[in-house]
Amino acid sequence: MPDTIRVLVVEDSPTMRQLICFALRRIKVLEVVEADDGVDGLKKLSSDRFDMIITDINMPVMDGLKLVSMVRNDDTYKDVPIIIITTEGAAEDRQRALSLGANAYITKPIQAPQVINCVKELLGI
Amino acid sequence: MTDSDNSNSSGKPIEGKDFLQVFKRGVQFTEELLQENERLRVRLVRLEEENRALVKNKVKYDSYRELMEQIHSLDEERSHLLERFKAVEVENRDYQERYKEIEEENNRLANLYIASYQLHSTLDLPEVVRITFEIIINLVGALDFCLYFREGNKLAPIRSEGHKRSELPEITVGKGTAGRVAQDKSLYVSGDDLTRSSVQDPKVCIPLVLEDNLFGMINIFRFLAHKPCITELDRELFNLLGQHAATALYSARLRTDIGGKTHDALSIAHMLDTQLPG
Repeated sequence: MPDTIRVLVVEDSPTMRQLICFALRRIKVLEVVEADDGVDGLKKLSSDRFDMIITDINMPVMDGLKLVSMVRNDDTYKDVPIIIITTEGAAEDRQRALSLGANAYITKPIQAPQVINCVKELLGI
Repeated sequence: MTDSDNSNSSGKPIEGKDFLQVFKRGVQFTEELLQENERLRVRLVRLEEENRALVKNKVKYDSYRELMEQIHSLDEERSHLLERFKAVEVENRDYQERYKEIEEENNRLANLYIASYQLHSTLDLPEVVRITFEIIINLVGALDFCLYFREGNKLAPIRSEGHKRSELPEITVGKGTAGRVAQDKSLYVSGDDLTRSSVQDPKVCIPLVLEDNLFGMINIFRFLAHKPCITELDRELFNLLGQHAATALYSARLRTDIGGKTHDALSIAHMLDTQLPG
């Protein structure tokens, strides 16, 4: 297991970003970086290396599904685990996100243990 | 040979015949002794074998007794270990239950802390309204709701989600579900189907109260389709909004009014329309 696992959290709501980061702090090996929206997320992905991406769907400028689609077309990140955290609870929304390449789909309102378990399972820690 | 050598015990002379008899008796006696010796030797061998067999049996019996004692001791140890194991299982279950409770409590406190932190992080009214709405959408899971400010005996819609503000009527204090909540200044939570939306019959009415004065109200008309029910954490968030959102909104509104220009509900609504997206 590496010393540090870098996670990018892409979420336009500061409240949700704070809640997700609070949950991720429970996993000691994680280093969390935040992004405001899809474009900010892509910028950070191109300038740094990340081992996991957690993203909302409904964001201004670039939504989460577009972000997932672009990330999966990038050789550097085609296998990186991606978790979607969203208010969209319909089965077709989930299916669409998973077909675009997301590995997990969590609906809001979230519970910290749910996020922690999902992250640990996908990272194998 | 003297004369005394040739006489027997009574003094008579020993004849050759007598000597032969004595010799024969001696031989016979010796043979009998040898036979007896052989018999005794055989008996001795048999007795030695018997003795060895008895010693072996004694050893077997001792080993058997030792084994039985060991088994008994192991049985006792096993019973003791089983009891201990059961006690540890019970203790483990208690710890698991306790861990689960602590995790839930931790999650609850995190939600409340973050909501409170965000609400009081700014005095900019549009920003406070945005944060309030974020809390209602992301932490509570509501879909359609509206923020009202009090204007005299009415509550005017300031900002809404899921409905156009113009479609939402004013609330008269004391009239209808929301009006009665405004009068009582206490939280209202309906037991109805959460996914059914009705502006006239809100699912939740959160009075925004400061020092026992009604400042405004948040009405939730519908929740996210996948939200099964209103939880204890939701109720705590409603109470938090009723106090902390009230304080944050009131302070932000005061700040907006600084400079002598007061804003009524309609002007605030227009200001929010221009400054917030959607």
